[in-house]
Order: sequence, then C-alpha cells, then structure tokens
Amino acid sequence: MNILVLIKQVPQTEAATEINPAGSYIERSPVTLYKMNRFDEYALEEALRIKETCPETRVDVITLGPEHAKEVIRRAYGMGADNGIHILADNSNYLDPSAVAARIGEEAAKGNYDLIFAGIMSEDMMQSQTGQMVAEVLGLPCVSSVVALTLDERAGKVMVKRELEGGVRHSLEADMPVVLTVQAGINTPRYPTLSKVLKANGKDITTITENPVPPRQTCVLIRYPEKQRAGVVVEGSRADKVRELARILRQKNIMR
Amino acid sequence: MNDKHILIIAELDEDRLKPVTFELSHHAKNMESNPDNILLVITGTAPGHAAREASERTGLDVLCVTVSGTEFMTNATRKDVVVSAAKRFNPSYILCPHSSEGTDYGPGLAVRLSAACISAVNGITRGEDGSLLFSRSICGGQYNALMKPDTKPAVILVQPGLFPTEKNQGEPGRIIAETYTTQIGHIRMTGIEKTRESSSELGQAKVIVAAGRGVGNKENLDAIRRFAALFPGAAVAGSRPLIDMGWLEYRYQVGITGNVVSPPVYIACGISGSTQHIAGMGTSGYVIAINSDPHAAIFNVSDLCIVDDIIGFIDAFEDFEKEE
Repeated sequence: MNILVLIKQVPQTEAATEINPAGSYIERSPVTLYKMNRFDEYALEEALRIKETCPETRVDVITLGPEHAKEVIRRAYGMGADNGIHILADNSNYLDPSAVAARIGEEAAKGNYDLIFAGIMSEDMMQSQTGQMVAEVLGLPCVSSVVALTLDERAGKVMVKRELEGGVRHSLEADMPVVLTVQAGINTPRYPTLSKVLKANGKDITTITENPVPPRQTCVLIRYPEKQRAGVVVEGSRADKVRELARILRQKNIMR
Repeated sequence: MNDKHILIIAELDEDRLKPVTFELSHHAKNMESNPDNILLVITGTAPGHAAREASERTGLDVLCVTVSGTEFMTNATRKDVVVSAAKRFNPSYILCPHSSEGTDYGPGLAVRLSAACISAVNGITRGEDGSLLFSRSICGGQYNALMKPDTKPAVILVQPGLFPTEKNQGEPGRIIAETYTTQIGHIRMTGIEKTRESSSELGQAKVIVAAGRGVGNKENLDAIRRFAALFPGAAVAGSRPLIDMGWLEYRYQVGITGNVVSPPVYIACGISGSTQHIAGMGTSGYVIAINSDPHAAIFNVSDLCIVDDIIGFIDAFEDFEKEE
C-alpha cells in the first residue's frame, strides 16, 4: 500500500508573531521555533500504524512551505516516514488553501496512493480546507473529521468513524483510494526514535520548486480582535491579584 | 429563473432546520438589501417540512431539493446539488455553516466551482471601496484576518453560534421544489452513534472552572479541582486538548464539539481561547481568565483578566484563603 500524509510546519507558539508594517499579514520573528502541526501528528501516526500491520506499505509525507519547513519532514522521518516531498513556497504572504491544494494535488497524482491522510486543520490558520480540496483536485472521495479507523486491505476499503457536533458519530465505509482528514484524539502520536532521527539526517528530501498557483482570495488587513467584554486586567503582584480575585468572588457571592 | 446574489445552504438535524440556517439568513440580509436576490437551498431525503418552515421564518425563496436513491447524504451528493444550483442561479456568494457538515463539503465545492473558500468566518464587514470583507480568526485567536474573495462565486463558511438568528415578520417566500437522484457511491453510511452524553453537571453548575493546556500536566488538575472546591456549586471542565490527551472525560469538554455552557461564572484556567472553545462558553455570565500569556485570545472574551501562571496562582490563592 502507498500512503501519503499531508504535514505542515507551524510555530510552537504565536508569542513572537506580529502584524507586518503594511498591516496586510502576520510576520514571524526569525527566532521563531517551529513544530509539526498537532493534527498532522495524529494523521501521520495513523499511517505509521497501518505500515506496522500491513507489509509492503510505504508512507510518504508532503509539505509546502519555506526552506525551514524541511525540519518537519525530518521529524516525520524520525517517526518512521519513508519519503518526504517538500514543495518550496514563500509563506510571508497569505497562502490560499486552494493554491496549496492544487500544488499538493499535482504531486500526489504522481504517487499512486491508496490512502491520503491530513490533519483536520492547521493550528495557525485553522481553515479546515486543504485535505478536502486535495481530494477534489484528485477526484477522490473524502471523509473529514475521522476519529476511528479500521482497514480492510483485501476489500480495498476503510471503515471509519466521523465526529459531528454534540458527540454524534457517523460510521462510514469508504472505498480506497480515499482522502481522510483526522481529528485530534484518534491515537497517541509517537515520539521520534533516536536511531531514526540519526538516519533522518542523511536521508534525501525531494525538493520541488515551481511557479505558484494564483490565489483566489486576498488577505486585506490583519487586526487585533475587538474586546467583547470589559477585560479588566488585575494589576500588581501575585498577592495583589489573589486578594482582588477573592474580593470580587465574595462580592459576587461565589465564595463564602 | 433570475440570478440570485446569495445562496444560503441550510443545515438539517434529521428533518429539522438547525438554528445556524437562520444565522446565515441574518447575514445574507445584511449583505444584500433586496431579499429577492437571496435563495435558501435545502437538500435532504425529506426536506419538505424544513422548506416550509424556512420560507415562513425567513421570507426568502427556497430551493427544496428532495434526494432519492440514498438514505444518507454524502458530501458528494451535497456538492452535486449545490454546483447545479450555482450554475443556474449564478450567485456571487454561497453561504454555508462552518460545521462538521459544512467543512465536509464546502472546500471541495469551492474547488469544483473554481471559487475562493473562506472558512470559520466570524464577521462580515465592508471595506473602504464598499466590497464585502470576511473576518476570520488566525494564530489561535490572536488576530483577525480580513479576507476578500477574488472569484465569483465565493464559498463562505460562517462559524455557527456567534450571531443572532432572525425572524421574518412578512410573507413567506416561494418554494421551488426539485428532485435529485443519486447513486450509492464510494462512501456508505453504516451507523450513527449518539453514545456520548453531555454532562448535566456542567449545565447546572453555578461556577465552571475550566482547565486548558496551560495547566501543564495531568497531576496539576488536582490544583484545578481544589480551586473549584472553594466555590459552592462549582464544576470542573476542560478544553478539547485535555480531553484528547485523556486527562478528562469527554462529557467535561467545553467547546463546539463538546458542551455549550452558560454558567453565571466561568473561570478559564490556562485556556488560550480558540474560536472552537469560545463558541462553547461565550454566553457565560461573568468570565474570569487566568493565563500566563498576556496575548491569549481568551482575554478578549473575559470580564476579568489575570496574567499569571495558573498553578502558582492557585497555590497562592489557597494560602490566602487559609489565612483568612
């Protein structure tokens, strides 16, 4: 079986993020530390579990981003991925998911994949679009928000559970090839092993440069969210803050 | 048939309309002053009742598409129906809910229509040139990005639960009834589970003390529980990452995929305040947030903001109470 996992590099925290001077997008400090998008870790873990149970399974990962996005492929190698594809792209301006999906779809079409996994969303942009769009680009069926998966390789299908609002789950059967976007909590992602990390340093990454696809939307302005409530900040030392909170809670009859 | 400026894609819970449908019609009327230019699309295996309710409650024209050949609506069928409507009515905007259903078909629909897809929209405004801009939260709620679609149509997924629903005082709209026959495709439904009960404890609590990733580790939940024990009628809850990590049971999850709560007092402990979490507690009476990150988005929806390490703060609070 051939499996592709869509992974994205995101900042460890947004603390060093600022609005750019033009006000048109965000800017990340050069010292920003990055990590693999949490939801993509679940997606990759699910693929690696299949590799452990089905012989002759290959797990490829693909990412789109600037040079430093290669780190996320190294991380995936450390967890057990076989091949990494890096589509080089400048992300200092807003990247439209339709353009990202078009470029990932183009590469994915070459790989003859039975299963394509993606995280349900990225932690930074929270759009929940790329996986479903890649499916459409490839003309494949798609199930989003998957919280459980069983593979029936012989029958060429997967049995999945899809999470809806209010704790409702749909059980579905999907023919492969299929694109699945994975919700958090489906598994416990493994940590990279030292031996695999050491091997990963010497491993090749297929790097692709190409002309960007034109976006279909523009980020016009970035602004701070409006305060929806009073937002009174309690000032002073920790002791001052403790005293003030206790006073307010007593005033509101929350505490005796 | 005349062109329509906006298509609204309704969402049903079995055969009944979900409130988000009326939130979308409220938005559409703010975007377009002539309601004749708005069409509400209802798709289902038995959508007749919902179509009548929608035409009465919104006064908008309704395209009522009855699907046969399947008992379960897949995203493939939903995309087919909306693509067909978009080709005939030539809309500029297609409004859908940013729900598990809307995000299942919306992005693929946009690809089929070569359309922009703007998701998790939390506000709609006009730019200086009068064009419509769609606001969405990014970077864990730290910023709002104002997005402008460059295509016609554009698919807009609107976050449910953030806006009022509307009620029409005038005449009901017309209903255009259609049928659509589909075949069972690559995705088949085999069952529905509704096993996870929501917590009545959270529904009745006077105070909810909710923990987020900022508590650091599972053992520190004891501090949250001791803190909650200081307030009579308080219950402990958590944000989604804690539930995913198995620190708390699902029935204690607050947020769009868990419980939607509205206690008199909500104390957010080490919660960053993602849109999904805020959608589950935004209507609480009085919101107190304690977080070490002064830029945490939770502070935008809080009445009282305490910037401090949550565990250190709770320890000091307990010591203070013992002395009192």
